[in-house]
Amino acid sequence: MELEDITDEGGTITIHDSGKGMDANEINNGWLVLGQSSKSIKEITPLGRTPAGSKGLGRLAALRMGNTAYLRSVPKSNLESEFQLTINWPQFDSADIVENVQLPITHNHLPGNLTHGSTISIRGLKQRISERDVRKIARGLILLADPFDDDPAAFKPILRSPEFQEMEVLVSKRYFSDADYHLFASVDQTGHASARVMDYLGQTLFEATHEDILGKGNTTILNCPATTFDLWSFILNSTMFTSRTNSITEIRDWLKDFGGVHLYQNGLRVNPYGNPGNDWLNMNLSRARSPEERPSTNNSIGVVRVSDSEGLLSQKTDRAGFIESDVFHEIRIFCQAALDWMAKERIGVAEFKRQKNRQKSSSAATETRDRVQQSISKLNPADREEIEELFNKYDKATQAEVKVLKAEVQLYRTLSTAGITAATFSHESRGNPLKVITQAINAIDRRTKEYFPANYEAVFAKPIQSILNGVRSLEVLGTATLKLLSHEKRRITRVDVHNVISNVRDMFAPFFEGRDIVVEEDFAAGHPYFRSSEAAFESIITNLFNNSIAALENSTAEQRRILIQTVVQENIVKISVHDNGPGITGINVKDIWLPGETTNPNGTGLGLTIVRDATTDLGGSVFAIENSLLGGAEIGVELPIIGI
Amino acid sequence: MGLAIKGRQIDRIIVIDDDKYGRESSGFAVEESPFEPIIQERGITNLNSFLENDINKTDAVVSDHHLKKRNYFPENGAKVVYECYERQIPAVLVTRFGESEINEIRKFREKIPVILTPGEFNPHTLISSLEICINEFLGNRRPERVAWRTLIRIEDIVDNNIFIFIPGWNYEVSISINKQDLPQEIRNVIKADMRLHAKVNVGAERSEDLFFKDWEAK
Repeated sequence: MELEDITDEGGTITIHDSGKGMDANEINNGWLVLGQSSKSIKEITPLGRTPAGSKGLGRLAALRMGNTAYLRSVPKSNLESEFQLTINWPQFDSADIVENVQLPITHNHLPGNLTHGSTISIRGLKQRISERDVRKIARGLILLADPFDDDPAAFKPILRSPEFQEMEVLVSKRYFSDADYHLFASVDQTGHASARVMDYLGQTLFEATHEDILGKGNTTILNCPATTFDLWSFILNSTMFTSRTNSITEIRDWLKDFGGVHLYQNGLRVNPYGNPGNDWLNMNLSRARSPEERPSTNNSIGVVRVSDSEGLLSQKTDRAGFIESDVFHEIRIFCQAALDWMAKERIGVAEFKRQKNRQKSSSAATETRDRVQQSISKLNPADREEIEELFNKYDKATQAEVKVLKAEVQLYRTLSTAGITAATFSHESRGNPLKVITQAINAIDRRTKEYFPANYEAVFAKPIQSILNGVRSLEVLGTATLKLLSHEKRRITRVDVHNVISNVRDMFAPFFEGRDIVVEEDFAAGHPYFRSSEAAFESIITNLFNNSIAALENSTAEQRRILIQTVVQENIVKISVHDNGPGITGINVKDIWLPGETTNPNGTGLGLTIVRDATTDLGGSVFAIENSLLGGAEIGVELPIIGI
Repeated sequence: MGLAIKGRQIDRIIVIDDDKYGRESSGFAVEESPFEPIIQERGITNLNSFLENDINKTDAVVSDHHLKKRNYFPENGAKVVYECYERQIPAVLVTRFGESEINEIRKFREKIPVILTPGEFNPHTLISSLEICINEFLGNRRPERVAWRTLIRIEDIVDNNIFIFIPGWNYEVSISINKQDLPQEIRNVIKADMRLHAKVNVGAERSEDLFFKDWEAK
């Protein structure tokens, strides 16, 4: 098949074949005649194919797509003869009756061996063919002759276009070996079904007899021609694919173009079965009803091959599938029964695995989940579908939540390790080094006073005092670290907002002092309070202070300032920490809450994430303003309170 | 040298600390006092034999609370001071302790007359502390060290921590005590919101100085 100048109207479609060709007589009495075909499907062609086509209506519709249709044929019986015919459609449009239009067939005698076969050109196309159409044609042509089979005698349709080449490469990839399950089911000529499921190594996992597939006690034979049904089902799960050579994306793309269950009647594909959106076996519906271990059209590819030498299946005139006859109905029942059987077997295996896992780690959550599912399955079908759907949604959402929580636990584990280490160091330093320094410097102080009384004030007093001041700061810092870990603070109790803020401020006092930071408080009247653990609220205030202290490192202000403000509005206390640092710069305001986001090279980027999380836990919200009251950032939280 | 306090002659003071530099620096203040410091360099494995043999060679004890970090002492300083008290040996605990150690010390606090921080520890406070100890041996406890029967309200029980209020001491401050430090019969009946009696040194200023005894189950 060739396409020329198709991007606009007036293009040409040309179809070449290497068939047995036609002479003038065959053209006149066969090709040009509607409503009958010289082909008989009861006679197999010399290449072993069952002839296709009957009335030629589809061909007429195709030929009518252009302004003229041109036929050239070289019959196999006479390789020196070439027959040509041009149909000029406008002539028919202007003629009173079709017989008035002459269709002369020219016969050229050409010496030498011509190649037998026919060429049909549809010229002067009335419509342009878009790139998307070309892709559809390419897909249709590729699938036309069962590319999944290795029959050397099968048709080899070729579209001369880059889209086709691309698709041909894709279809030839055949990712069948990546399929987790391969179902092969068949109905023999006597109407008996059998099936087996193989794993990706081709090893048989399950096998079924006619009764296994159609139900116990059901021995009625299937009233359909010999049929085979292959279905490759993929578990498109990234963890499953890590050890494979092909990527999950490649397989997804491949399935997107070729997925679905295609139906081949005598080696030729029948539209629209297996087209995108066509789910003639109701696979997606079955999956929606019970999603476990069920293939869908998105994660599987299938081929149903019907050897219909009797012509029991008739296609609709518009080529939109088969007429829904009993025979077709039987084929569909057979395929669906095979799918049901496979699902049942796979669920059995999954259940077995689950039981084993359950024995390993009896998770209360999993058990309860299974019990809910069991209970749902006992409901009457009308209620079941809706509840099942809702439960699956809930289950998915829960799983997603668990995933997020796991990541957070990881993060907090890292943080607590840092915290525990800091506490251990604080504890240790307070116990020994600080004790030693304190006692030693006190001894020096006493002894210099005693032995060098004249020089004490002038020479020793100041440096000794410096050491004592340093020790005092170290003591407070160590105590502050340990105070944060006090178990009493983890109790759920009445938390007085102002008290906690003041306590944290006092705890940080030597820190602020050492950094020449003046801290101002502007509190709302009264004592707003809520119920929580002091530790949770303290971590908010501590991290807000830490954040301001870090910001002030980059301050050029003469006096470094922090203002902590509380405002009570109805049932909300708004707590904001202002500073006169440079404000929020070099980072998007909304990003400051994200873990690891920091403009401080020595920071962890976790402080404000903790503020956000702790605030969320307390039912509040966070806010940040790039530049506010004092010129620097204002970062704060709004928390619901119980009273004042 | 030495010094007679309330009729009791104190010459040598043993200094116990699991850290070498800690012992040394605690010794500085003792050196400057009228007493001879005996630095306990050798670690001991049996507290009883230490109390029976070594301590008798000295007249008083200065000990840190943290003794178990190294392979130095089998018990912490609070227990050592308590045992000394039982033997009427004056002993001073010189330590900084945090919240985690409050209850560890509280258990023995009735018989720990003085706790000094390293900053507070000097020749003068050493002498006054020894005086306090000897006074207690003589039956003269300071008001803040005398336990009175008082009402206790159980506020909450979380795991091993019991949070209580002592209205007769300070009705606003909740105090955490260890469940395992209570007598068995009290542990068995205790529950949140319960009120019961015990003897407490309600004259103490700081919560860490409080001690409890003679619990009464209803």
